[in-house]
Amino acid sequence: MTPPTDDLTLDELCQDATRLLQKHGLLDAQTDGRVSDAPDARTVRYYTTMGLVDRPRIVDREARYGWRQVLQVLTIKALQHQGRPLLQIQKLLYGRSEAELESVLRGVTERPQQRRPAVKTVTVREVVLEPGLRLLVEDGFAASDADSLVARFRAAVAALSASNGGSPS
Amino acid sequence: MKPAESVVMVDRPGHFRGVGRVECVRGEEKVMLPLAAVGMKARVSDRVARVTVTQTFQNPFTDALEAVYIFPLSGGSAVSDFEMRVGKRVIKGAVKERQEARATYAKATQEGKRAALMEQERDDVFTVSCGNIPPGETVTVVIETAERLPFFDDGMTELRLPVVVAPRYIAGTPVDGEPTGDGVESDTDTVPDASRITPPRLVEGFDPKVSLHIEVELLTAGEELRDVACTQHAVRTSLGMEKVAIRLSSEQEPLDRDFVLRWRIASASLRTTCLGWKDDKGRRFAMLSVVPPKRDGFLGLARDVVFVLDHSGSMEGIKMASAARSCSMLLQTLGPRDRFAIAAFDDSTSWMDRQFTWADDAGLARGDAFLRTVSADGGTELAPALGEALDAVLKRRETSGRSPVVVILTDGEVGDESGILRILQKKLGDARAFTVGIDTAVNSGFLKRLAALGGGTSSFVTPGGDLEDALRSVGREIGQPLVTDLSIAGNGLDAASLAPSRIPDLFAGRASAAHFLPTSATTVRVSGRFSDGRAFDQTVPIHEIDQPALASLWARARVADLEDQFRLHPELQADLKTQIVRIACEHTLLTRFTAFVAVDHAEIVNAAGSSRHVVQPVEMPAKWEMDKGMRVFCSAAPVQDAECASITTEPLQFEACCEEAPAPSPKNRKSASPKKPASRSGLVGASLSFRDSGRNQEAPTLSDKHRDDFTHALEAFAKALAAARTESRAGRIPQTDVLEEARVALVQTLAASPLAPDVPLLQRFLRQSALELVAACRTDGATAAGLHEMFEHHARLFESALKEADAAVAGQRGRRWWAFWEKTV
Repeated sequence: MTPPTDDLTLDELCQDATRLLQKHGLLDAQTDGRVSDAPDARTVRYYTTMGLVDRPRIVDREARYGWRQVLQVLTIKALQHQGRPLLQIQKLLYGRSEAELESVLRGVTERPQQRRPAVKTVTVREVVLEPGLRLLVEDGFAASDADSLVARFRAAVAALSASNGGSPS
Repeated sequence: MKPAESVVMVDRPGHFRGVGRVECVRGEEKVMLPLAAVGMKARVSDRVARVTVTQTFQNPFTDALEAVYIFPLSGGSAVSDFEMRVGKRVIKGAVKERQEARATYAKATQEGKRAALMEQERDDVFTVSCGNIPPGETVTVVIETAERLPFFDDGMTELRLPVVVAPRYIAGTPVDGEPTGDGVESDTDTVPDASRITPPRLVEGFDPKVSLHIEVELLTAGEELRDVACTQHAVRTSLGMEKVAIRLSSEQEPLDRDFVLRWRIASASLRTTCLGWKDDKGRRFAMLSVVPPKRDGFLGLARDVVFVLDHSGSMEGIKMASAARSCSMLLQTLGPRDRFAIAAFDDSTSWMDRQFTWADDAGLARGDAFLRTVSADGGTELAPALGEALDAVLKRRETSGRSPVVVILTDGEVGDESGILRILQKKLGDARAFTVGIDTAVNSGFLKRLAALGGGTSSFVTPGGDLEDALRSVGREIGQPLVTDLSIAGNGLDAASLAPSRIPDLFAGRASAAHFLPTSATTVRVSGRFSDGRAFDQTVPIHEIDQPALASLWARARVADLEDQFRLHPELQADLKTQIVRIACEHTLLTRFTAFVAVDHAEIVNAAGSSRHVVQPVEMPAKWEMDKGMRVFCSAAPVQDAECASITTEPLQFEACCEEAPAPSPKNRKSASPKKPASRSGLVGASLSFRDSGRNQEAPTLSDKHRDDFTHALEAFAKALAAARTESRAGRIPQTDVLEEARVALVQTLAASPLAPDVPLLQRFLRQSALELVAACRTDGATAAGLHEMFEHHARLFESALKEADAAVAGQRGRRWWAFWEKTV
């Protein structure tokens, strides 16, 4: 008996896709704020405006999705899990047949190690000391003792002028 | 609800469908989109622009492609020619009644021929479908249009060439049934063709590699041109003896904003003129441009002005700022005798006050303060807002000596134009409506029509651009026109041919125009009434020029008049439709009721009937800041370009089986092979989904022979499919030669049968599912278990297809025929 997958509501589509993604290890806890999280209704509608998920059928004035759309969501999410931005995903998937989508999906699941390391976000502030000389201060920086800082700064400037032949006093 | 495991075969190694493969390759990046290039060449003379638009479609895939492109042309322009170019061959398009053109196109694509169809969805939104482009080939369509340019008494004139259809707000609730088009929105009760005017969007940063070439030639005829300025693009200008040529500096410009060119003609030549042209049958067409007399001092009535300000989500960012500032500037043009009200709308309408405010210093200050609080969000429910505004001006108590005015400031990006126009037509009363369009890619067709019906004028503003300059004339115009009740008369002149049937009233600074048939007249007398009651009277000679566009411009203006009546009078619609189709066929004119179709009968390029259907995704208009919340999905983790993926669709792995394929024409062997990747099933081509359109006329009748042929071919196919399914159930890999033969036979029977449009599910099954099944069986490494699963899944699809086929043979059609385009006039 084949499951009746041609009659999903938007929520059911999201649930099915989420469950399948979990099953294949394509969803994980988000530590770095990236976007390979579970698909939700808003996301699916957004994918629709980009032609990546087919517009639903309308039955009794309600949107109904089918297996093709499940496949589309899975493929998008699987590629996002690999760290690909939506820009690339649209390039890769736009206008594709189901067989081709499956082929992409297979490629992802067969090579799960390809996942790129997460990108760590570092926030810095910039202080212009004089034109051409900037100081980058990482968030959470706490100054150590001032004298040793000044000493280190002098050493750095000395090293700079030695290498440039310039002489900032 | 049961899960969807069975369709996802990711965890079963050895289970290959084998139809097409997408591989991620590093390095070179190929864009897999149908549209390769867009060209626009405009020649302007005598205030008429003739524009040749070329669109080149490519097929980067390995199966036959149907490309669909939803695109804009300048609102109100007359599309008078369409052709398809294949290599050096030119196939002329013909104008047919729209239903018939769609049927012709569907039949040609069914038969495996190249074909192109051009339809009109709105005054400025069009769809080109280009079917059966063989792999690796290109097809170019060439569209000829003409438009009359607006101009002002200081000699300023403007050419606007739109290049992208902006996202439209779609009101209403989704409706059941086959969608009418290929866009991303569902059809609704309010916008029954929403799916035809909402192309998919490119993700920000996706370069679709569409080269854009725009060239404008201004023929000067000895006049001096000044202040040539292109407000949204960098251009190169070259000055010749007789002409000025302007072209885009770069062909890499994104297609995300209108091309807007303004220039000024030395004002000595600005007077009322009438130009004439005679066609080879001796019919004459004339275009009259009436220039208003110079006005001294202020003599208008006091005004009651309602500003209707769009603050929906699409206005977010600099557009909203420009709209609020434009409104504020128009407020400042009011005098202390005038009164105003402001209605800001998104999903609902909010009023500054529920009453009119005197436009004295205190009132203006309050208006400014209100405008500063307006921010953009929500839908674009213009229809109720306009209704409220018109009610407000009509329900004023003290009306004597005050002229009622509604000024609408919006990007006009809505889908229910027809309903809004109807509200205006019904409720306008003695009010006048003016429109100020604010966008980089404005819905100009709609805003022009709205203002024309409202007896006012339309102006367009570039967000962030020089508002003072663009609104300079609007402030003067709002309110009473200088001259009203314009009419024409003359010896041997057909006054009833005047189009628009009422010449637009003359506002200070702006010329009005109309078209008519002069028959044998050499002069035309224009008369009207100044606002103080004096008579306006001018006699103008008809100056003969060589401008064939005058014929199609007359026809277009005439059709616009008929469309306005069509919208208002349901009881006259049948007659009006006949008139429109007759004019359109006489003048080879594209309208809502007619379409251009071109069929290449020279060769059959897709005998096996595989089809991939791709809609060209388009840019978000420049300076749109919609859906910021969604942006997070566009800007995911940074990925180095070197690792960017590109796609190659590889040929199938079983080339050895080629012999069993039905023999395609040798020249197009590749494209005709049935063993190509199957196509998208969800967006099945227009060629296959014409179920809604039915056949109201001129369609071939269904004979007993058709019925028998179809039934036999279908039975043979069903039998072959059942046999293969049994094999797979028994754990064997099915032989598919018989199945493939039966499939091809059925496809060909259908192509010759009037039943073809009535069985979209079967068509889809034959052209996609069945192809996939056959290919999967022939793939190395296919497992019986995997195939069995596929057969079971597809068997369900086939059952629905069979039911549909039974109904079609029995003559019961799933849905009554209706022409969605009649709802959107």
